[in-house]
Amino acid sequence: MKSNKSSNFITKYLSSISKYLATIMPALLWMVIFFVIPLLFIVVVSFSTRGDVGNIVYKFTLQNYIKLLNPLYINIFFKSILIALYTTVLCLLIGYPFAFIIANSNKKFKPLLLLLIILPFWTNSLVRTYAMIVLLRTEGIINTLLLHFHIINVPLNLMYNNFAVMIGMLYMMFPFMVLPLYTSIEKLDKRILDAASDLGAGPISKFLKITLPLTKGGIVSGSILVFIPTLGLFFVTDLMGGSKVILMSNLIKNQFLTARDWPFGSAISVILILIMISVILFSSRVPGAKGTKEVL
Amino acid sequence: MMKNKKTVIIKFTYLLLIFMFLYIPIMVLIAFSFNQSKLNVVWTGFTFKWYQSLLHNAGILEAVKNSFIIAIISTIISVIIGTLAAVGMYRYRFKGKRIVDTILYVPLVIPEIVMGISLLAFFSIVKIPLGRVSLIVAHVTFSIAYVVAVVKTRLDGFDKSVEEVAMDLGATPLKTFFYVTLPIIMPGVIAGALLAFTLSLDDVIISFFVAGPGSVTLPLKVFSMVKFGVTPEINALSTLIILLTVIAICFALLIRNIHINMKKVIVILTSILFVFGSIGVGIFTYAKKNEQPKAVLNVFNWSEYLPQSVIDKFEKTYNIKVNYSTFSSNEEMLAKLMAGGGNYDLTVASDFMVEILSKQGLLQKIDKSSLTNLKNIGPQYLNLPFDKGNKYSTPYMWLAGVIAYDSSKIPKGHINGYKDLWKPEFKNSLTLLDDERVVIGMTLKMLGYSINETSPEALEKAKEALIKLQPNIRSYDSDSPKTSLINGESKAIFAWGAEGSLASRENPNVKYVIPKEGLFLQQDNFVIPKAAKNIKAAELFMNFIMRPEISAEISHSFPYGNPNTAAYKYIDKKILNDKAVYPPDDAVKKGEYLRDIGKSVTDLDKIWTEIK
Repeated sequence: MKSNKSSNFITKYLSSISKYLATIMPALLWMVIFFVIPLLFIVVVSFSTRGDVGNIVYKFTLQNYIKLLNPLYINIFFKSILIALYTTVLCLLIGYPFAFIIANSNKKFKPLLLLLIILPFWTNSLVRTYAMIVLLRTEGIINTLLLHFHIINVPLNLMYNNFAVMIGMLYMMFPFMVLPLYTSIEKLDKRILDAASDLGAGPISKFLKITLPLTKGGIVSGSILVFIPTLGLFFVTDLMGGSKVILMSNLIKNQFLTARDWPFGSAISVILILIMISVILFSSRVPGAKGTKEVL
Repeated sequence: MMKNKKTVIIKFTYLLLIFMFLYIPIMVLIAFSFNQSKLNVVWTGFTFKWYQSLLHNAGILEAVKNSFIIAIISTIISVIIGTLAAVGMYRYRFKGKRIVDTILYVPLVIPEIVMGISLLAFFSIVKIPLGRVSLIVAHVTFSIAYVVAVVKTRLDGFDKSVEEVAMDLGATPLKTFFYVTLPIIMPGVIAGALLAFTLSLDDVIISFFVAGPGSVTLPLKVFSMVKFGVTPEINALSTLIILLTVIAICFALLIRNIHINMKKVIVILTSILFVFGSIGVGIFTYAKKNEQPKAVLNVFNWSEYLPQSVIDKFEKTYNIKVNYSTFSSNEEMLAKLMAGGGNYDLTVASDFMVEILSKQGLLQKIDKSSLTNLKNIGPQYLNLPFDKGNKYSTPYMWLAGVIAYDSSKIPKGHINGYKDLWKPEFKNSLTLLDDERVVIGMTLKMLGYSINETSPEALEKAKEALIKLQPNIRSYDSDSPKTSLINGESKAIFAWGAEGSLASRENPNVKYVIPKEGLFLQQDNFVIPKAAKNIKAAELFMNFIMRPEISAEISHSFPYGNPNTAAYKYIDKKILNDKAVYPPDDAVKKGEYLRDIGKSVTDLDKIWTEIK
């Protein structure tokens, strides 16, 4: 028995390495082959020159990066970040109570509610956005109803402004916030909250001191899942906002398509990626600090 | 007790409000699937015809089949790989963990177009053929990041002692994983799977670049319809998908006697997906039942630009199978060819794009001896500046830019040309094409220059003029500017004649003017890409399209200017008399086509970025 245990220890150690390899390696290999290596192409292009007909001339230059220092582009960058930030905060404020109610609802209905959140998103996003426009436009359903019931006298201007963009973004990104929040709130141990109540904690301090810190992981990953893709979501700002502003994603798209300046487009992308990586590294410190201690 | 009741009501109302927000647009969309009008704009009457035509639309059905196959397979793969990685990342500490963590996150960050182009370049270098496999690979790549992120959230704070207990009690690591770890993290895995499935089902940009001939997915199909209008068939399809899902859920609930748990959700989900898949395959095999054809022709074109009946006739006449793939803009098509994508035998390109493609060496010269029907094309559409001598291209259809306006809001005579768009009375009421070449070109024309002018002084003047125009702009829209005119959002639009023509069919108040400064012309042409495999079939197709009766058939389906003058005798007079589509000859003579302006396009892009 005893010798068995010590050999067990060694196999356990070996298997922990093999397990680590078995768990991480498939994802890592996949990402390196189909993501990192293809991306090198973009990095190389970002140091190349645009040929006269829009082809890529592989002649080293830093011009594409220098061009980005123009306040014109820096401005666009800040505007994009601001919109993504607003969207994230909006999704979080509306999504948190929603996820909370669902996570605490009757166990029978949870899967159903979860499916109901995601179901609208199985419909093509363009078609959904068109439906949104039917609702919001000046002669649309909402205005017609409000006018009919004499709540307003003049139709509200709901389309092609920041309000429309925010509504559109919220509609597109909502499940990306709710699902991670749900998974983290759902696993919250209710006994802790009961204990807190027993010890005399009010609902607000319970929420601030227990629920919120324990669901931080969900908040962080939900925010990342909303914030980052929002930077690349141009068709909502185009369709709901009337394409009156150029955002980061439009700028990159224009470089690759209309301007056919792939080197400049690649340079913007590389910078965007670098900035986002630093955002991720920063945010991973927030829940990570606690998490790593637990692992140790 | 009272307080408890109150909170229940508040909770319920909150859920209800959010679900209303999520579902009211879906209801609108369902309602419009029964709308008479072909455009998703205003209600004109009740009909079931879109459901009928959906069942006969082999293109859409095949796209549905492709989409579901790709979504299901890529979800399964990404959930397995992603869950394992999340568990490993949570449990083990190793050198370079930060780097791995970042690599797993970065796909979320990357602009889709960059990922699409880089993957396409990679596939073409390592010679992975474009098709379902490449699509699945791409979808797995961006889905893994989402799965990892969601599963990690669930693992955060996971009590490891539970696993240790199981091991101490003699469970093997594998058993521990399946019986202890997995059930605990299941909600996270399911949430991740739902996200991955949803993302795959709705992805457009990455899919566009990595899709090959004959692997069009539903979102690609929908987006390629934008130039000519997304048809309510798509609404009908969405309605059916929602309906089937709801039925499946209800069915599952009944069977389980309203007792379902997370494990069963997977069973339900897979069965839903399976049902969809098999229905799709079933309909598809039913929709097309023909013998094995000899050769294949890969055509790359806008959607809703060539009637299916013409393709069917071609397939029958020559016993060649046509694989019809779609794009939504000239520029996308170019980017795809530039990155080495697709073995397309035939594609459609607008005038300036023919010039760019030929300059980049991406086109084949055409063997004109095989194009016997070229004589049917009017001489004014041949030998144009973008392709002297038609070495690379044959005309397909042409368009002219008109200003269409709502005559109930703008009196007749207030708009005669581009210049009038600058009038202060049109504050916040114009919709223009979201295209820098078109808008800047129009401004140059208004200032008396050519639309292809590139001198710095002219561009500076155009920029100043455009800054003054901004307050009048309600929206830019190159997908469907007619929509905002029909639904009353804007009072006037500058768009292609077909848009004006379609708008006036929906809304009789819509009138249009031919801008007095001169027309903005565009001609779309068939070209053969350099990488074409079946050049012979491509030339047969080009020639087939130029048959007068076939050409007339196209004109009856879509309102675009037909260059095939020999076909006019087969075309209804009503169509030929539509001045938005066939403007008077003298206006066409004053008109101009866009040319490739080489490097100056980056100057235009900068102006565009500045004025917006």
